[in-house]
Amino acid sequence: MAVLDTMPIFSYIWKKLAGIHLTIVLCLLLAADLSLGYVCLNRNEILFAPLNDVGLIAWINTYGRCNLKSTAWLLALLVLLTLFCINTFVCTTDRVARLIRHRKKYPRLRLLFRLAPHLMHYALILILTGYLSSYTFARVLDSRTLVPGSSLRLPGTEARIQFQSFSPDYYKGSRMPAFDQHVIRPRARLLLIDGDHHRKAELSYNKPVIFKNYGIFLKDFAPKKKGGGMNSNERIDLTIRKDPGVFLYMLGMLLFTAGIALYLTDWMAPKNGKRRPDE
Amino acid sequence: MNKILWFFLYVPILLLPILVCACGQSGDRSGTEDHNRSFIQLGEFTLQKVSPERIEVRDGAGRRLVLVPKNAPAPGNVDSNRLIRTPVKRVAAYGAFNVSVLKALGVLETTLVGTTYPTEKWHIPEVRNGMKSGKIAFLGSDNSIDFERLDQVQPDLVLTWDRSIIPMLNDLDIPCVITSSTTAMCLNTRMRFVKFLAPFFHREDQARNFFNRVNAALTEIREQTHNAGPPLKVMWGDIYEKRVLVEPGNAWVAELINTLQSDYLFDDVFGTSCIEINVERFLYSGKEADILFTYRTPEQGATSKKALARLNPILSGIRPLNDGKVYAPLPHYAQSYQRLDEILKEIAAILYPKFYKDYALRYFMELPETNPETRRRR
Amino acid sequence: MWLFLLPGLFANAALVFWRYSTAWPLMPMYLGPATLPLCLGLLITLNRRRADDIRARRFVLGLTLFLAVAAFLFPKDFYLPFLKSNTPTSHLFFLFKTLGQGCFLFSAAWAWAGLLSGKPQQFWFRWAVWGFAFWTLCMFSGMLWSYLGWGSPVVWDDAAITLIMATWFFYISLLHLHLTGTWTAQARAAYAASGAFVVVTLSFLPDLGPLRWPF
Repeated sequence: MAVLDTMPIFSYIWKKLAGIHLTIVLCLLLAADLSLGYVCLNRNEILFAPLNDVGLIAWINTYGRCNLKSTAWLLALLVLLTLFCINTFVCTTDRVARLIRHRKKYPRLRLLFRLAPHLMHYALILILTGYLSSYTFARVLDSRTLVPGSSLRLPGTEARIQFQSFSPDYYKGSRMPAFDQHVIRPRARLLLIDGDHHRKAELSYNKPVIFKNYGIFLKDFAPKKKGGGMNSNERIDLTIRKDPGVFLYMLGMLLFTAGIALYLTDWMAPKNGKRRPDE
Repeated sequence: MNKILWFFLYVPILLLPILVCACGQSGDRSGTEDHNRSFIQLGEFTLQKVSPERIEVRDGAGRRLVLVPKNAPAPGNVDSNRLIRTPVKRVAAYGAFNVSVLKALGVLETTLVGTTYPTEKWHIPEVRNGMKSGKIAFLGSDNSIDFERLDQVQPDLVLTWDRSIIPMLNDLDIPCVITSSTTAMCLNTRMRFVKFLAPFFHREDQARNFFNRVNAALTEIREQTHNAGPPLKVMWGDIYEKRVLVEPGNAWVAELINTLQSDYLFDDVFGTSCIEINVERFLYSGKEADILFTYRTPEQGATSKKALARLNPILSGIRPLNDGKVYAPLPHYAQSYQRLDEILKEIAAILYPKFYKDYALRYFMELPETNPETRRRR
Repeated sequence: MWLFLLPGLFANAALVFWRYSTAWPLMPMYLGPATLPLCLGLLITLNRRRADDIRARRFVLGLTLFLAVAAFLFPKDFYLPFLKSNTPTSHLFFLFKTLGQGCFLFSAAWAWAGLLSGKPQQFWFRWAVWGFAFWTLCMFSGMLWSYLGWGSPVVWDDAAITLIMATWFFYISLLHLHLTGTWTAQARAAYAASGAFVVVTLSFLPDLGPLRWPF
């Protein structure tokens, strides 16, 4: 902050970037851009789904560039989010610095409550940074298929994943006739082999397995029905990702939730026996 | 509040509907200049010309494969089962669609070495003759492939929809391409799909000619059915036991029906081909439909409206079975991708018989009220 | 009013319960439009503190009726539930989304009532904050579900994700306007009242299907 005070041009830029008007304008532009994104994305998912596999840069160079009419909103979104992050960072840092300067004015708990909105701001930046690193630096092994007994090696390691057996739960109720005899929860038993170290794990939908910093996710499976059908051969399709962004956006999510909880606690608590005036 | 802020606040909001209309659902719809592009997207399939000697493709399972000419040095960073040497000389193909694409490319007779249907199920003369002469092997049915037999025929490539064979093919070091996708193919993708397989065989010119032929047929049909009068209401699907399967609004048949000024009744359904919906939705559309296209062939029981109703009593109340028309695909329909232009024309002829007088159906049959045998007995 | 509201609420609750229990343990697809009127009805029944503000109650009741009729005539409930919704995060996503929508619409109702009375009070802000909290939790549970189910932070298969984020940004700007006192109370109330249009357009209408005349 002292540097800013001594250099007026930086101070001017800093002030402009910290402006609440900029926040509001950016939020509205983001809302408008995302609404436009809905129109471009709706029923055109096949254009955007590969973003999760090929990464942002490769996607922009291929799908993005060749379908600019449908993808321009996403490119605009990236620019707007970057500006929004800068604005949030500058604005909140400004206020946090002020709060810290005057910290003696507040009791410790009060100070914590006053920091809650800023915690949310920093958490949002963390989430967006996590997203960006996820889409930029994640190493994704495109769809891998295993059948019972087969295995695959994780790239850059000697570790292997072996698919041992498939023992799904079948739908037992009678409320949904279309699900009669169909799998309701797929369960694939995996053996994770790392040298002499063996570990068993169960992979299912929404239940990934983490192994050697790789996330192993069940993408699809067969058979879907007891006794088979068209796809009667047992198989699992996996998505395998080494994603450095996960930790960041999960942490951000946690901090944001803590920030909301703190803010609501402060806000709902009676102030000197009275409710808040805004009620 | 200053005026600039007001401007920034309301201009985007006012502009939003205009932007929404302007942008619409665009996408890569042009198919005529694909050969000049370095990146081509065909639904979920893609082709990327990285260099004159390297093409990277993404198949229906999202797997990246690398095509390199036979005489070029092997790239270092590609697994052998993801590397395909072109032009491919020996192909094993699952199902009818893959084989008919080979026929469309004009490489069926020279490259096909194995299929998953027995001889009597084929309606393509080249395949029947090839199987009779022993040039094309029967590899076992789709779900129980004889991998020893497959290995014996030594294919350079396997075209399949079944992902469960990938690990075994990896062990045998045979590359494969998944030719089915999770989202139904739109009309444009269906017409251009041949361009996806063309670089495997260096048959880009044939693919272009095929596309141009189908495109010309579509243009002609569009012109012919222009101002066709009140739209017909069409549904495409069937009920199997307790499961209702229909073609979604994003499928090529739906798009074709809508293009021809008719009204596809499952336009609001989106997803994979043969998508499952609830029975109430099917019956609701069934009340107002003029035409039903069933998935069942006559061999699968779709011989008459009565027979269809007997198979699925729940169907008996829908309008096409009572006051409308029901069409069933003939067995060779699924093996006729190479005649896509004729199929498009036939669908147009079914929808608008007044524009196609004396047209004899070749790929579909209109179901009679009752089976001929029943009629004779009566 | 209670004569109509209570039976309507019971009927709506029965429908939602039936649909949910039929699909359980999966999440019923596109049940949101049928659940939102129930949420609004429950909120108006339970929120008696401001029972005197007849304008806001009329607004909410009118909106509830409109949403219920729209959900009835334009259902999009024909998709079968999908297996990846067999997780607590998907149910939390649905719950928080409905609560968030309900609170946002309540906020708009109070803002509207304040505007009509000429003396906009800040009561709408309370609902906006609760709506924002629920909406954020809805986004986070969606994010968690997306990571656990697909391994990626965003699942592009459903375009509605963009509209959820758009609504979130709309309310971020409203909260910032209020907390920093940037606009006049009247202008802020007008902005909050416009939230009804935003919420209905961005998070209710996309869940509707084509007209299905039930008779």
